[in-house]
Amino acid sequence: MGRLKNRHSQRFTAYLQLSDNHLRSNQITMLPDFPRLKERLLRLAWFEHRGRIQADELIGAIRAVPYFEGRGFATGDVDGHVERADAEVMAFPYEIQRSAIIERGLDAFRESLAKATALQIQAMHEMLLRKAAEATERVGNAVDAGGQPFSAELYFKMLETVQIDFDELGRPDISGTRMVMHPDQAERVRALMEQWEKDDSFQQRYRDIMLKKREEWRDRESNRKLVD
Amino acid sequence: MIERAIENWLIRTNERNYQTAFCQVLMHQGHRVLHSSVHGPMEQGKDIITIGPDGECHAYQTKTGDIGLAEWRGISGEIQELVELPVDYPGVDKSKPHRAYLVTNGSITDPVRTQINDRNEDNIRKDRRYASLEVIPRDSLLKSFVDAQGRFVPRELPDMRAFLELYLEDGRSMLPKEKLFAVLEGSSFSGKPTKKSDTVDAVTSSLVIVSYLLNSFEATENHYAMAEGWSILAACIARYTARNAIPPDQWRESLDLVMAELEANLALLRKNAIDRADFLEGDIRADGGVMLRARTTIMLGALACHELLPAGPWKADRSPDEVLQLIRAHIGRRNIWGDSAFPYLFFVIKFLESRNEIALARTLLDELFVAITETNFNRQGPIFPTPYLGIEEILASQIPDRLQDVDLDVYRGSSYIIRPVLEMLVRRGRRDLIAAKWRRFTYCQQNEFIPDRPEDIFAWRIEDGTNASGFPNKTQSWAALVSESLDLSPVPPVYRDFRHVLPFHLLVCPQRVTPTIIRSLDTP
Repeated sequence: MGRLKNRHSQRFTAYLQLSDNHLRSNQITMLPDFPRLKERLLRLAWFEHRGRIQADELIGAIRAVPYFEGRGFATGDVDGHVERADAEVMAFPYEIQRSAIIERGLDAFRESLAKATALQIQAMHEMLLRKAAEATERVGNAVDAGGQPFSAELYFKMLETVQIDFDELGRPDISGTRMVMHPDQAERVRALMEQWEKDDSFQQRYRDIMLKKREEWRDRESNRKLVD
Repeated sequence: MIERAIENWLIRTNERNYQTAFCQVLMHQGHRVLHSSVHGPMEQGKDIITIGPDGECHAYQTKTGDIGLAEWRGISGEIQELVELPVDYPGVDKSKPHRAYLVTNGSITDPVRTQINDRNEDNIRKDRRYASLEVIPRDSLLKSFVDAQGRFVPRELPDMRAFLELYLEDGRSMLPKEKLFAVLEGSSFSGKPTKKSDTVDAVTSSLVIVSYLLNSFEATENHYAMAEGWSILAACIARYTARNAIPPDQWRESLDLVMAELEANLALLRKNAIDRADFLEGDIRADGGVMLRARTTIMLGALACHELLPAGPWKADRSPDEVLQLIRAHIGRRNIWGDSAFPYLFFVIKFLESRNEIALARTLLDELFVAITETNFNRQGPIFPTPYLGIEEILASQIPDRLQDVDLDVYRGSSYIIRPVLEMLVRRGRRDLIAAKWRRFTYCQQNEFIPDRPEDIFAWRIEDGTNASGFPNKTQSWAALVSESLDLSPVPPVYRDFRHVLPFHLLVCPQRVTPTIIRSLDTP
């Protein structure tokens, strides 16, 4: 069974029934068994499941913090906005045949679990994007493409709306920035970006935006102070 | 089965361990316990002194094992004192005869019983006005324990499993705190009392249960684990009585007994520590390093906390000079492994301040604040994990012999203790240091768990509550910060009602540290 987790403002409980009743022997009498070994094997399967989730580019980039008690959350962001929410349960079914277990043992279970993992990742993507949309709507930095294809102009518009921090040496920190899009579109955008980066005017515009962002960051930083 | 389990405990334990439970049984029978030698020196052959429901004074001497003629000769001097010397205790009328009892968890042989009877008859015949000696051997003792708690012992799995695991625990280990909370909350304190006797029964049973669940820790003289065990019981009593609004006269004496036991173990821990040149323990081949440094923090914090506990009606064995000596000798080996280490350091700082060692206290507090601020600002280097991870889990996560379920890196950038530490500095007027670190401080997310019911701070884990988190104001007014740090209005009455239970409870349950609790303990 999974544990209660938090991905920033996204709260959910992931349940993975690693030993459902239908997978238990239906005999009344007890046959020789190896529960301690099974526990170790199922633990490995759990790590594999968790590893797959962490390997997802979007989900893996977000810090997952365990919470140990309580049902409610009141999460304040850097602007002081507090979002209240209760823990959500996310459950993912998986199917596995006794015959598959008989034939292939743990591998059959791992395959089935991998399918459940894919469902979980998909559900987490949806929840994350829903929450991100709510947040951008709230702070008012949504950019409407108006049905137009992705362009350099749209890219700069997006850059201008997001808050970018800089390190002590003044370098932009975009480690937490992600562009999320359909894989087909991502391929097209990647190719476009490579072209744009060779374009001097694109580079100049990018530098100008970063200069502005750096100034904004300096202003923000200078506000981080103790006053009377 | 339960009777056998209690019998098993009773025949294996010593008088020190069963004495507190026996006191509770006496209280259950209507006695008012005036003195217990576990919590102070023996009074003229009298380990326990009570005023019984009959209004008479009762004096008990407790022993371990069978008493045959050889043993009887060995204790005859003490027995003579027990019987012949009047009870010299404040509030007891010395001119009135008392009742005297010899209690043992073994048997008393017939020749000894004959001698006792002969002596009693002789005293009556010669009108010596000595107390008549009565005996309470194992069978009677066992019956009184079983009667006192039998119906509260867990009978259902998994409670019974936790119960047995605790009983069979390696006494040299750290106490499995979660299991003890689970057993107590699942047995003695599981129901809502409907009448006065329910409360008395619940508290009585809990005290007997804890006495024998801590048996393996008592046998190995693991005084820190014992102190934690009694603290857990005190917390459970506090939560249970507060939740059900039970009047203090129904539980106050029992809680005093528990707190006295907690203090007695901390006094023994101090005596153990003062005789040592270092705090290495057990198999020293795998000791030292971070383990020794963590143990040092635990020892110094627990002993400092003991010195600062509010005084109770029992005779407390404290020695602030010795504790100061220990802190001076060992503080260089401290280790702050995460948020769960904070309560130890808090009490060391408070104790040093109480001894006017202001410079050292200030160094420790400044160092802590800088360390938390910097480690949470930096993206690499040391981490201060959540208070929900105890020292054993954190040490285990560093041993590369298995797959690790604990990823400490996720706790970077957030802290449960940074706000309480900040407020401590504010109360001490350390504006210069705070101003210097404010920019980096504002990057750390501040966490706090807020239970729906204030008394739930005495629980291990609870469902009804909110995980609150947020960031500090970027621009912060010092005046407002001072005002907030001194504001005691959010302190619920239950913190004040159980002010003597709260300090050590924070060592046992560091996840219960909040700005409000620390404010209540840090403010005179």
